[in-house]
Amino acid sequence: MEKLAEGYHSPDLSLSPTSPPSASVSSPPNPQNPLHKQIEVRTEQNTWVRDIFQIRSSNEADDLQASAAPSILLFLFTLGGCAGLLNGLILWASSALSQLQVVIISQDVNHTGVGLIYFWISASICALGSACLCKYISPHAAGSGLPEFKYLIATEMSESDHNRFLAFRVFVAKVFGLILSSGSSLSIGSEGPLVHTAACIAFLLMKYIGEFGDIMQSPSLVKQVFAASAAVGVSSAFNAPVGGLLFSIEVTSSFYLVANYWKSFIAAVAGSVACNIFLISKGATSDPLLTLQMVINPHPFVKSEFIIFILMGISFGFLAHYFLKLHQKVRFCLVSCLQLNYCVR
Amino acid sequence: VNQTVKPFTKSYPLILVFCVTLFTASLIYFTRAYDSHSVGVIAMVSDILSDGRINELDGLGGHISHLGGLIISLIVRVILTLLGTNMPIPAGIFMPVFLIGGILGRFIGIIMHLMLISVGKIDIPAYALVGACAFAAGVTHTISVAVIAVEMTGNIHMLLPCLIVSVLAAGITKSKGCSVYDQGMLNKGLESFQLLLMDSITANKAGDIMDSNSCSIPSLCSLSNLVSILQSTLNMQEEYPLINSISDQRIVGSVARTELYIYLEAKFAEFDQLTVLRHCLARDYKRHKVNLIRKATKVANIEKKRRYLGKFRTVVAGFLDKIDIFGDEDRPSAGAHTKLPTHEMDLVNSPTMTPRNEMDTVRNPLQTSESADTGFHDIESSSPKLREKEGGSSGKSSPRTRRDSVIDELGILTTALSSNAVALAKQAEALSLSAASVASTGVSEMARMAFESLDTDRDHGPVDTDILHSEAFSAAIDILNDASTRLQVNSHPFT
Repeated sequence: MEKLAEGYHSPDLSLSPTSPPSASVSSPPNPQNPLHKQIEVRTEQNTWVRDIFQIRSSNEADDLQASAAPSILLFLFTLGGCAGLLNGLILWASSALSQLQVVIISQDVNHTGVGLIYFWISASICALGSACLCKYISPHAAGSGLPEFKYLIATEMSESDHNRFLAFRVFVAKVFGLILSSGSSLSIGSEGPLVHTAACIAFLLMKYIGEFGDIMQSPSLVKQVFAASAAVGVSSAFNAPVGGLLFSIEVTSSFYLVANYWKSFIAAVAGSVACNIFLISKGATSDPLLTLQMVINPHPFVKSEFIIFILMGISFGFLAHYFLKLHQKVRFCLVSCLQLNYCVR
Repeated sequence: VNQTVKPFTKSYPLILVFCVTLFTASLIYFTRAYDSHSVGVIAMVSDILSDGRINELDGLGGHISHLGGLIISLIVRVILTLLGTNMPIPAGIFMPVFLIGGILGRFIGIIMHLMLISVGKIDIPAYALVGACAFAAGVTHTISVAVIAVEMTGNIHMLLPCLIVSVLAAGITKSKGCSVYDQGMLNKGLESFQLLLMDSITANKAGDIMDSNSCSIPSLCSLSNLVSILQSTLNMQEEYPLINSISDQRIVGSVARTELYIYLEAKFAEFDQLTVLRHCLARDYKRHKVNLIRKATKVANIEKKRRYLGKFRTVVAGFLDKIDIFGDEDRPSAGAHTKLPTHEMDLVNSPTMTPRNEMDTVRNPLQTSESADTGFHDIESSSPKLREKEGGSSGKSSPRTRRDSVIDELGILTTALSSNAVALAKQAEALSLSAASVASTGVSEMARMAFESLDTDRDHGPVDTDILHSEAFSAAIDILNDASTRLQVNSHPFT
């Protein structure tokens, strides 16, 4: 009833003594021209059915998407620039921390064990700092961000999910936690957290900058923006814009709209450029952060080796499957034996 | 996997992270898995793809062979990766997995090199890259790993082998289970449609994911039933299956919610009465309460001014008695009592006096809704009291008669209005559009709202006599009585 009553307050329906509605108790409906009546009613008065049930007409959504088109271009460039610079900063900082660890280890020239103790202290400080950030700022920052990202992409958009997984607290914990954990010599990567960070940046830009607030109105546009942020994260993590774009397509593969892939591409290129500019300005040209150095022939294989490659692909697929099983078992052991609980909802 | 659904707050495993870090640091220290640049995974990856300087465990004095060093390094990496990526810190899994695949690929490359050393030159880093691609593609279920690897190393010649192994490995693991990211979603309790699809490949039937609570529409369905179905499944169902009938539930087709709205809009346009009903329901309850309070204060003001008028009249009478302007023949024996009505009429007719104006507004059809209620109270219960009060305060007759006439008029008006309202209420029930909604807020409120809108209806002639004599008339009268008593209890201006 309340919803019904709310729906009724459209201004053209309010009581006005000058134009009372043509409401006679005993007047029959007009059977002569029903078409005329329908048209008149739908255009002038009877939008109330739509008001009650809160339908948004399809034209409205189209208009929204069309009006957001110029701002989405600017948004993609901004997202790529910000996320690329930040990811470059993260990579540079974690690399610097890692180099610091090497310096600490190499204090021990005579292998007396002092270097190991120094290494223990510095590595555990980094790892515990990262864990404390996750504990006290936001537990959603723990782990690779890609499961959360896939969840956001694959399910229906909701404000609470955004505020839970992409909030500013999560962003802060993720950035500093990733720097510390990458510098702590643990055997971990950085592509999932970088994707999560880029998605956080996209969400925060849309939320706090008024120019881009319109994008939030369209759920499909928001999903495309998140796919673009995945491309930015991967492309700046590996210095691979095309690979990042393809990765974002594959992660969101259940319903990726190929017509919108240029958005991911723009963001990926912008992110890669920004990341490269930052890293080169920090003097990282010879660093494996930018390009992994490979010593390889110009023609590294002959045609008969394709058989070996095919066999390798099959066997490595099985090995990867067993590795996944092992990974899940280790997770299960940690959850059951050590009360390590990862669940976030 | 049993999942507990509480986020960890107090039992955050800081000690576990500490222990794992110490273990990792020790293993890295003893296997010398670092170079001059960094201690992390990237140093290992860049080394395994180039010359394999780190992984041969030269720190152990060169006692272990090339392949033995690789095997130890592989075991160490697998253990460290399994531990490290399960820690509750920001941790990706791509690079460690890439490294494990690289070590494996390098191992195979060295074996091939040893076997085929007479045939031709085997490029060991190429095998490392291919193995890394295959393993990473298998774990993450993404073929784009090949492109990423080629872009990372800047070596376009390796694109084809990388693509081959990526497609094969990703295909095999995709057919066998979920990727590491889907595992992460499972572990964190994040459901998604992709996971459902993954289950459905193996076990699920249509009934497992089907929504059995959906509402269906029979092909012969009354309009009210349709509206109630639409209202009850608001924001829950977008598509409605159309069945033959309730008893014979064969599916005929399906109809979209929006199409039903369009149909209902066209259908409701034929009912003019519905527009009236909409007007009746348009005013919400708060606004009505505010109006009632305003009315109460207005009536109280009228009473106050009436009392002042009485006092003023007695003062004037005393004054006239004292100064004796008029002659003896002009002065009647009864004093001011017969003289004063003229004075009083002047005073009442003067524009500064509001009571007269208030009385006029009563007849204004624009405000009948407000005044109808006021008249209602006066007639039903409080008019005897009022008369007593007035009689007590001032014994003058003419204002009281004036008020009585107004009250009588109001009474007539109210009865006419109520009969109209009865008709409206009857239509409301007959249409049964608002049967559910009206029942939820109470019939009395609807009837009261119907009162408010009667000013528009009064112009349209008398009510059908059929309706007045019909069966629902007595029921509607009861409803109205109930409404009036509620009104008096809730907002009586004089109590």
